Amino acid sequence: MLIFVVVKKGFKNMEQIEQGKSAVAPYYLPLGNEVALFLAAYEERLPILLKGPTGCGKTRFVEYMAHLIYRGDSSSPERRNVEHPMITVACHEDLSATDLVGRFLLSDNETIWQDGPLTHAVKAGSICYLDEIVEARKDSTVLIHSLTDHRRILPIEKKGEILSANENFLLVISYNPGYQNVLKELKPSTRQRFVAIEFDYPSEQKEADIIIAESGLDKPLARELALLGSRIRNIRHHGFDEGVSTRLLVYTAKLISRGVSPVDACGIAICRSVTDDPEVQSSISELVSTVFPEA
Amino acid sequence: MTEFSHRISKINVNTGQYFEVVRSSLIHKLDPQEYASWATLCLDITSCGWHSYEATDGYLKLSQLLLEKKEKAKLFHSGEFGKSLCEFAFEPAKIYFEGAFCLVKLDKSGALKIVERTGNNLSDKYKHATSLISQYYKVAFDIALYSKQSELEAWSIAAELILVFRAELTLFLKLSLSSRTIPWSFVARVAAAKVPAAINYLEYYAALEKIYSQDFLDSLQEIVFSLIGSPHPMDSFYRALIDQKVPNLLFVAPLLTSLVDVRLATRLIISSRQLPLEEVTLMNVWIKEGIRISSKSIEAGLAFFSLESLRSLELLEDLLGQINLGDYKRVFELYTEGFCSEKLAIDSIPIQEEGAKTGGLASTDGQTIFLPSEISIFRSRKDNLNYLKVILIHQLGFFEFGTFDFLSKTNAIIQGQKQPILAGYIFDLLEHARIDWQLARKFRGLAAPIESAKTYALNQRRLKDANKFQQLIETIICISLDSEIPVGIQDEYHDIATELAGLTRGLKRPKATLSDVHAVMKKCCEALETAGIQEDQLLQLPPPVVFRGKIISKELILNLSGLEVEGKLDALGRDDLMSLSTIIDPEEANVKELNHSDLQGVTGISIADLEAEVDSEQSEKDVKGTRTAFFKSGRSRALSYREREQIYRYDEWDFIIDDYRRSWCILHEIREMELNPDFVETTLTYHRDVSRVVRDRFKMLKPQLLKKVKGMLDGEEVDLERAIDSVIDKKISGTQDERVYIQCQRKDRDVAALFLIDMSASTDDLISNNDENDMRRSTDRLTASGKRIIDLEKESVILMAEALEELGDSYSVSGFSGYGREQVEYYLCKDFSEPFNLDVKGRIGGIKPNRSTRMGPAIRHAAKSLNRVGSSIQVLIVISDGYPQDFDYGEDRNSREYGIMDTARSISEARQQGIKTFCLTVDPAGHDYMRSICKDTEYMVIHNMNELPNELSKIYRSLTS
Repeated sequence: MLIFVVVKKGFKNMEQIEQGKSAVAPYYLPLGNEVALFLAAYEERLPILLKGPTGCGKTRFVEYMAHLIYRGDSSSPERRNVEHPMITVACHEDLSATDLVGRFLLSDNETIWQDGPLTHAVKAGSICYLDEIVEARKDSTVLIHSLTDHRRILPIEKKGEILSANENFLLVISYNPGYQNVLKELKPSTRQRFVAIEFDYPSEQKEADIIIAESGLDKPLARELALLGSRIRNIRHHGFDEGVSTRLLVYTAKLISRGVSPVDACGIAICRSVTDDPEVQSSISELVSTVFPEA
Repeated sequence: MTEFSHRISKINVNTGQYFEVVRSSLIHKLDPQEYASWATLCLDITSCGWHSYEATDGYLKLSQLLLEKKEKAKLFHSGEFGKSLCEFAFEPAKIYFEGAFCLVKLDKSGALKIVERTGNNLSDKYKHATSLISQYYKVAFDIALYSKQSELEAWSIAAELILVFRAELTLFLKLSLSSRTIPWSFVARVAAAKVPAAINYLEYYAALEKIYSQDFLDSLQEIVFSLIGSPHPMDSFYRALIDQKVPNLLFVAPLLTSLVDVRLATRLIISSRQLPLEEVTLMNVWIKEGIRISSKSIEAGLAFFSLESLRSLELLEDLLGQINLGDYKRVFELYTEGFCSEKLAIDSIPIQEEGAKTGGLASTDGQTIFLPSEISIFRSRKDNLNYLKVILIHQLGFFEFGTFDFLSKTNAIIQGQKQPILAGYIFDLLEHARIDWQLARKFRGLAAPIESAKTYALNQRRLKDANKFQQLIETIICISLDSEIPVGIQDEYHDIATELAGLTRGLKRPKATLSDVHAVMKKCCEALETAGIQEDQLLQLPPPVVFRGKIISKELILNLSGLEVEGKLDALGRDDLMSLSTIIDPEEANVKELNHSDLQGVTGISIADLEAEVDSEQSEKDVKGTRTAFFKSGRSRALSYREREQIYRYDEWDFIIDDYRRSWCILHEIREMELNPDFVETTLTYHRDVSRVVRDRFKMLKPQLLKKVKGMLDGEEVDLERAIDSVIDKKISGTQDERVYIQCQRKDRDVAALFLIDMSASTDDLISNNDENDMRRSTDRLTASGKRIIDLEKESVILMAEALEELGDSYSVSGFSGYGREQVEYYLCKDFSEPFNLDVKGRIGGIKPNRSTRMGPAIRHAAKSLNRVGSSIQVLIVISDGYPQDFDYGEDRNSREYGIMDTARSISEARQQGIKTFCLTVDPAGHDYMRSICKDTEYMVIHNMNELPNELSKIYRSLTS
């Protein structure tokens, strides 16, 4: 069970901080050796870059790893005491360095310093997960440079302070090369500070297993849904660069589990959500009606 | 001998003798006075004139009959009547007496009265027209003999109505004998309304009678009657009926009566073979819409009923549930890419093949899937769409289930059979069956559409008159369509049919592979050979299952000889070969390791060709001769397209009917033309100064490509407005927006330009320069004498091309010409992706004046080509020397308006597709019509021809900046 706490801070830019507490490990089906790679990187405190299309399970993977590292059987007591093992920041184009580090807030004729999510993670020794990092402003990406090399420090300019990272702290960023345009390419100086784990959508078989696990759908239907997913991804370059995500397939499966006909479920969860191009929608509908019989 | 006999004998001995014979038989039936009157009549008739004794003979014969029938009064009446006819010539009287004799003998005295009545009127009107009167009596008695009295009466009325028009009457009499079933009551009715219409009807009745049933002819009467009010002649209407032979018109006969204008009815009849006439409700809607349109504009109505206007075709297709491939092309291309992860084009089956006996079968060459251009076999669009989808999916099934993965192996196995041609055919059948079963199993959504297509296909199968081979093949086909061994198969073949059925069903199992098909094919061949089936029976193949199309890859292997492959490689462009060389090391090519997907989108040649060259050189020689004879159409289209011209159909805008004429023009995209690369080099050398100026101008475009972007975190200059806002923000809220800079960002040029050159014959004219200065200048710089408009057009484009090469914009150069709507020629000199190489230079140099200027289809094709490139800026520059014209560009050849309106429409279509268009004309009178074609800012009339290169570069800059 995950608990999400949304903290609103600041009055111009607003970032969301997810603080995950988990008693049970989130479901994650490893697709390769990514778990071992992540663990090895964590042991060496190497910052990690996760590359992959939307909805392929990057965030879920980090949640799973956070649980494994901070709440797993082999977790040290110190890590177990970290209240929020994972802090997620969904980056957007107005996200500035201030939003990440923290800012002074006015309160009763005095200014109070409020830590940003990054500072919080650095202090507490959590995993800080900057989702879709290239969306953030360039000043915020530069900010993390000192945290991602041997120094592991976070300069807090406004306080004139340099914060050394907690031993357990790890920075994980995600980056989606699929739909990012040239202007939003990660700078090499940033890129080369991370070890990169590449994700893609799972194979049909594994995707079917994920669908079953997440939605409780019958195996034959789940396999058909996975088959459909893989076919739709073949036309992802036509206006929906991300293809249909495993997440959308899971949503579809959940609708089908609730008694919605597969064709209708695909219609609302896939056809209309992945693209607005009517011809692409039609071709996806045709693929849907190829896999599932009309009700 | 009596005195009468004596006097008659004096005129003619035989008649005198005959009189004597008749007199002796009659004399006791007449009192002396009556006898004297009768004899006097005979003498009078005889002495009327030249050969009038012949009439007397007739009267004598009639007299005997009349007295036998005790018709004494008639004896004298007919005698007097005949005598009056005899006054000017004997023929009318002779014919009268003979006719009267026949009628009296048949007791048709009523008919005789009718004949006499009209005859009287005729004689009154045309006393001296003896041949006309003779003709009348001939016809009248003929009709009187075989018709009912009422019909004779009707004929007689008609004749009297026509009587006043002598020429028409002659024709009427002549045509009256053309058939014995002419409905005279109807003719009289028509004649009462319009005499020429009645004659017209008679002219064609006999021909119609041979083609159509009596029911149809009866229905036709009302249609004809409703149309005779039209001021237009009805000949074309009748001729259309005779030529088209459409008995189904009976279904819509009541609807035709409301057409009013005969031209509309004629067009409808000409189109009738393409109309579902038996669908009365549907036709009712369509015809009524046509009538509604006709009431507003007769031209629009004519186009409607000719099935030429878009409205007409769309309504009909809508009513029929027809779907057109064009409407689903992109969806299907996306679907195809999704389904088999390969980017295949979707195209309609080429025209020349579509008209073939099979109606054109779907196929794929590994790069394109060819599908029927339209489907209307079901009444609902959904069913038709599903059917088309099944045709497509069956082709995709070949990719999905590995049909093309082991082409050489399949070929080797087929060649290894005793009868390879038979084996190849059986392989096709079995593979089609496996694909359908696998598709339905793997994709549940396809099960129902495939089943429906199979049911339809099964209903089309016929076993009647099938020979042994056909019956056995039919067995395999029926099993593959989920049916049983066909009923009606001869008992002696039942065992072998059962064996074939069992073998075929074996492929139904889940996960049946290509190897299973190979195995089953071998067994089937053995079974057929045991049954004594020989390859030569393949000449009588049963009809194919249409939705399954055909597999042409195999035919590629079999049909291409090594020499042909070499030829094709030669025919490939340099680029293609370069691409090919990236895949195949020419030194160590091992084509066996390649499969078809390696060459996807690379060249027009399939790997199968190369396999053929290496693998089966010997076997193909053996098979080629026979196989080619059986499958003449089996040539790879991918290859043949490289050699031949490609054909496209385009709609044309008809302003008169205010609608498009669908698929009206056939455009031939031609790649092969006379080469003259020297022209380009000469131009570039001769105009090096101009060339440099144009290039320099284009270089200046590059700095302009930097675009200022405001609101950046860093940049070359500070955006003052934002900076002030930022300071204010900071003072008020303590935070500030740091994006106060202006950055100059370099944007890539994404331009595609197409230069369309008018190649009409008029561009052969020499350039005339009125400006003396210009003349002097041109004398200095150019060869003023002998330079033609086309030369200058070409020079301008060459200079542009040279400059564009430097700028890096994508561009294409084409010329257009042609003659008539079915022969629009589009010379593709340089495609967008082609480099400005020797071939291209040769083609541009080789452009020469040729025939007409049908601009509309050329512009539409150019727009289509531009769209395919998909650049963000698309520019179409048309260079012409006059207004659009062609011999059939509009019905009125002298009217320019049709061509101008169509060109204007094509330009507006291009504009709607996001293409910037510009028309350059060297016609001094260009202003007169260019304003109608495009906006004032989108054309230019070049007065000084030598300014063309200069102007062209200016225009290009303004269009693409």
